[in-house]
Amino acid sequence: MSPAPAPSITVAPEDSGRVVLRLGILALVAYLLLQIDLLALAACSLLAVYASSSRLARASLSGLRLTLSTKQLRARCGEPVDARLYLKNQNRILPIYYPSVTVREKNTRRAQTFQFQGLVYPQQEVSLSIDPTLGVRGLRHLEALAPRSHFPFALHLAQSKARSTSPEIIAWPRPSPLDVDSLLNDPPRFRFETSGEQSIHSQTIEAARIRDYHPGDPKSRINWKLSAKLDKLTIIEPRDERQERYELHLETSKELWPSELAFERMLRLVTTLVSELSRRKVIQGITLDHTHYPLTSNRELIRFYDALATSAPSPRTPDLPIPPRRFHLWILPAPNSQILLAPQSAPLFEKEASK
Amino acid sequence: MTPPNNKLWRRPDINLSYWLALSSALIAFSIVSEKLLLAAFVGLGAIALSALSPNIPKRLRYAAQASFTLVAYFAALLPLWPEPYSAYYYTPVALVLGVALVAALNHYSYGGSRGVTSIAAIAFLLFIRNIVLYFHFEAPLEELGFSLAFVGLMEIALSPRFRNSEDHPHPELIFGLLLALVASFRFTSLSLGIVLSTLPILAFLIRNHELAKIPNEQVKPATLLSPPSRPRRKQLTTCLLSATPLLLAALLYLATLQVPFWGDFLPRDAPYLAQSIAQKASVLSQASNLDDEALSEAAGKIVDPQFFKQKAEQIAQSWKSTPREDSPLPDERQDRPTATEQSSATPQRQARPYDPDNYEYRLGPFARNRAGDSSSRVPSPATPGNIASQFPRLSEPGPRSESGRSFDPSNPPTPAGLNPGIPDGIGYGDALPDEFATPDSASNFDLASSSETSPDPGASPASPTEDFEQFLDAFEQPEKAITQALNLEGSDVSALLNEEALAIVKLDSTRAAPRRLYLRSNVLDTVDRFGLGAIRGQDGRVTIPVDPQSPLVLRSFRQSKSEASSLTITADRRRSATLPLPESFGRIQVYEETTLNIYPEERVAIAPRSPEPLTYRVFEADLEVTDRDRTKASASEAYRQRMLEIPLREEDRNYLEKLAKRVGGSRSPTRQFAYRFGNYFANRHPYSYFVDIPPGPGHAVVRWLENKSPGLCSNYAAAFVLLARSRGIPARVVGGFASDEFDSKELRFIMRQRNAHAWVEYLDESNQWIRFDPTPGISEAEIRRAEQYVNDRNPQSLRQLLLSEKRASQAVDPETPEEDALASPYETAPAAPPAASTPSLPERNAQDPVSAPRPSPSLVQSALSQDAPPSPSDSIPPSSTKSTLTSPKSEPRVAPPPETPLSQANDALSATPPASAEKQDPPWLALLAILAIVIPGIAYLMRFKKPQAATPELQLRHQAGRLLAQLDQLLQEHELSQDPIWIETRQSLSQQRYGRETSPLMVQDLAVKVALLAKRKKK
Repeated sequence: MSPAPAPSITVAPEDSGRVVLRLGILALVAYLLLQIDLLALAACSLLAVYASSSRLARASLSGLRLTLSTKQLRARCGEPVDARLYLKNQNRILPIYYPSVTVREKNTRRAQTFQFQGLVYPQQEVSLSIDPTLGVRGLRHLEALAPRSHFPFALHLAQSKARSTSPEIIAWPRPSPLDVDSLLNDPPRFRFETSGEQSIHSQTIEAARIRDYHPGDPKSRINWKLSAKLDKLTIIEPRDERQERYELHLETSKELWPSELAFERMLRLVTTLVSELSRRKVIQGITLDHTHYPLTSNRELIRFYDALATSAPSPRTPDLPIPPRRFHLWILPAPNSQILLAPQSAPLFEKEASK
Repeated sequence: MTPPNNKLWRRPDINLSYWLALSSALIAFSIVSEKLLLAAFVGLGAIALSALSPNIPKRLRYAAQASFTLVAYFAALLPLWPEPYSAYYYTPVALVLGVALVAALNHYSYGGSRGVTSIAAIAFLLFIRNIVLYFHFEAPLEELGFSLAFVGLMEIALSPRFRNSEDHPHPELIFGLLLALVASFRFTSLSLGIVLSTLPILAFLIRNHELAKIPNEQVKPATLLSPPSRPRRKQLTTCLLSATPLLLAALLYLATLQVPFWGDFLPRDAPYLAQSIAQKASVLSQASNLDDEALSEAAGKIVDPQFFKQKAEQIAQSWKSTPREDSPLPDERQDRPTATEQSSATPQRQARPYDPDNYEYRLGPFARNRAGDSSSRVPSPATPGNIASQFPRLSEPGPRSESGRSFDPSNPPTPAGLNPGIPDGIGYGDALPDEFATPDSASNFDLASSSETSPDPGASPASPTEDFEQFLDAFEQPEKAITQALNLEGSDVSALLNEEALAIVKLDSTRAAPRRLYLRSNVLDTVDRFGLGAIRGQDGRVTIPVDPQSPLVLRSFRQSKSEASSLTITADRRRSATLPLPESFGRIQVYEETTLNIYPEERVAIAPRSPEPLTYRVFEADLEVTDRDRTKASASEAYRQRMLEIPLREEDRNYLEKLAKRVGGSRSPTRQFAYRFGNYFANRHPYSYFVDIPPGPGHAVVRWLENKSPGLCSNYAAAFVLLARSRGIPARVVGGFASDEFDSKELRFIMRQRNAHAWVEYLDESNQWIRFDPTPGISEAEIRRAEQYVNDRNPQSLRQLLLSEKRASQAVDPETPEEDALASPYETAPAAPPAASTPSLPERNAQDPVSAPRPSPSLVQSALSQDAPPSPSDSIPPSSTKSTLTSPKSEPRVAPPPETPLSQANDALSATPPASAEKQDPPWLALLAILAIVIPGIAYLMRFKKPQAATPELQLRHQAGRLLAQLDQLLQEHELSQDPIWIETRQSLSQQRYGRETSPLMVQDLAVKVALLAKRKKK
């Protein structure tokens, strides 16, 4: 296998290097004028150190090959991503001292620097673990570039043009704080103040809720015994919060979320909302632009977050209002770039608001 | 949490780079200042400051640093001011305190500002001192060098860069190299120069490396996943890394060695500024020479010097249209042999036409050019009476050595200082018997030779001619005169630097040995046309019979109230009749002589001339008369008036008066007058063996003063006497010997021809004759220039003197065992290069302890070892030694090629004050190697791995782990393993332990929960 072509190297003098160079030139000029022997020694040492430092820096960094990889497919914005950096030193003799690599998001160019506090010996490959963070949601690529090193005496900074790109990572929007209880326009439900004894009796009639049969309910839920007694179709619902879960609806229309900023903020708030409601186990599913995502299990939650991360404001108009249904909430814009959970969808709400 | 450390001290944390920088700075400062105590104090103080615990309050730390800086600056700068410190209302103390405060209160040294401020303050202090005390407005360059070195040392010792700092300006590199530069003027070893210049650079690079390891706060660490594999070929890596800059530096250095000096290619009509800069640059270059012949040869082979020379010549030719053949500039580069000078000087001299205007101060046809060498002298051809045939032959050109000097074994030139102006046939008192007349001794007209101890009169008396009459007219009492005069116009340099021993002085104990021994031979107090002379006639002479067995009391020679020691002096009598005597003594015992002539007013003693040396013992002698001990002189009024005479022209007298008033001050005390002129001469007239006073109408001394001519001791002495007299201070020139070459093993001073010296005695306000030496120190360049002229024309003289001394001591006390066998001290002595005692730098004179000199040059040693049979060390019968004397001189001694004794003498003198200083000083390179390599090596081998304190995050994780274990145990006890709440608690705790981030608040909450569970009673 042929070695990769050597990337080009730039060597720039640091402050110390400039000091050494200037001192060397000054000493050389003074020696030429005054012929003081120690000045010759000092000038030669300084200039030789400067020249050799730059040559060695260039030579050592020319053998560096860089590979960035990550096995993590998704990460939250602002949270570190577990990535691996592989540095290979193809030189025969020269090591690479304390190389540092810049890792950035490919499109947005937010950069972070990681330094390996050690030497990469010749013909050796080291694997490093780094944790870059992603700043923007969406499908992102991490890019490792500009490996550089202060060769041992830090007189020069040698920088190589090698770069490497990681596979795609889905960056979820960062959750921003949200007061969920105020959103839900219901007082928080404390089902059982006691420690849970009465939850055992949730299947009994005392803990149940009796309601009529609404068309659309599953027919298996009909309690025939009670229905016979009451002469109407009746359903006994045990007080199982598991059934009383909300369905959310989210429209990503531009009319609802006019600006990018509002859209991003909405996404963040929705992330918080969904995570909070799913933690409380009061959410059943969410419909995102006609796509229904159940949110009962963790895997489904992840799927939803992925969809949320890759969503963009769509140009289509919001749907026609659906008649309000129980436990269906719509996520609508609110002033101060907040969101609002409303039992009805947007147009009606707007009409009510305009009234 | 560990309790805060209340201790004041902790183990000092010293980096390798700090140690290297500090050790090189300490060694360089010790070389410059020769004060090892001060350097050790600074070093230890800096280490103690770094040992202060970081927990002590900031004020205490600042106070410690400020007090250390204050004490160090005080100790270093106060000795720069001459004692007494209470002069001028304690101003020196106040000034030094001010400078020390400036340095101590300046905490922050950004970019070396503290160092620069200190240097400026010290320069100001020294300038004030020069103006107030010495009255000259010039830069104090030597002391400034010392202060630069001291400030550099303090800056490096107190630098914050070597502690935890990322200070970007790097004053330590500059100060370290500055220290090495100042120190390089004090040694000549190339290896020491290499080490001293590379150590600060190395320290700087190492510190840079350490500082660059620490990333800034934006850089995150990348943790290593795979375990690090063993590096292959580590040695090769290290070799390449260190060899590349070394190789490059060596190549560059070899190239720079071949670069010629730009001053060599200056055209003749270059502006004066360029010429003076070239001169100063060459002086500097010579003073800082770190030469290595092997290296120069290697450089010549590797790098082509012709290329540089061609380029330089092209540039020089572009300045001037016509190329020149040779450069007539007084070029003092070592690679330019002085043969060029001589060869160019000689034709100039010979081309000088006869100037009738100068007849007044010359002797007509006898007006020899005293500054030329004797080789250019030709016996004057056809003059009336054929004088040349009457007088003994002048010096014949002997075997020419490479530098063109002439070596005339038959005509040894006399020492420097005085013109042997004795005409032939003039002895003192009675005519000398013929047996003392050696036909091949120098004629009196050998003006190439000049010495204070005037040459032999033993030439055969010749019939006087008219020119001789003219010459005799110069003297008042020609028939009875022993005239000696100062030669002011220079002389044969090889005569000045002759190593022939003329007197030896044996002390009784080392305690009495002064730093520099002055022996007075003759007093020259008469100003004549040529300079200063002395006429010893019947006036003032006292003839005293002398008994070899009992000492003679001479009251007039007693100048000191203290009676310090006794000496035995053996003096050569072939050249001079005057006896070298110490400043003050009470009694004298002369062996082998019956009469002594003394002149009590001048304190001069004269013994009849003879080829045998005379030994005399001097009792109650005070070799260094201090002011407190000095007695008042009894100078008669007539003598006082005579000491104030200046028989010169009106213009000369006016000039002298003006100069004396301007420089010395019209009403200053005599001591201050003397000091001021001492400094005036030091600054204006450098000491040089090559004196050339331009011709002119005035007196030689006045001409010398008007042009800033270099001078010899006689010039300075004569000038000072004239100036003092014009101000009204009676003064006289004293000629004799001055030497600081003391053999502490044999307790002996050896006075050679080159130790012949002239100084001054002036009568101060309290009617005391004060000895004052106005001669400034000789510069290094001049020493090197004069090295080639050192020679030993009469190797037997020392042996003769020693024999005579032994005879005399045996004659007095035959039973005393032979303490100093002739052969043993000089046979068993190691063949070490002698410590030359040419007038050295002023600081050296001020600071040198009594040196432990080496014995006589190896020349004499080889001669003695070859000549004297391996005799038992206890007794050598004089007869056998005499027979060995008269035995044919072994060939290798006299007839070796002139290169051998000369080269040996050259080797002897090449170990000049730098080498002698090196011999006395500790071996700097070895010390530096120990400090910079051995001690860090030991520290590395003995390194203590201190247990690394865990980071707070790690401590938190450990605490979470402990809580996890405790929780597991509790859950098992309380049987809550399946409880979801506790499962969640355990999960969060394990995440705190192993997860990505830890949160102390979370861990604290979980700890509370675990504690509550632990408190719960079991069911």
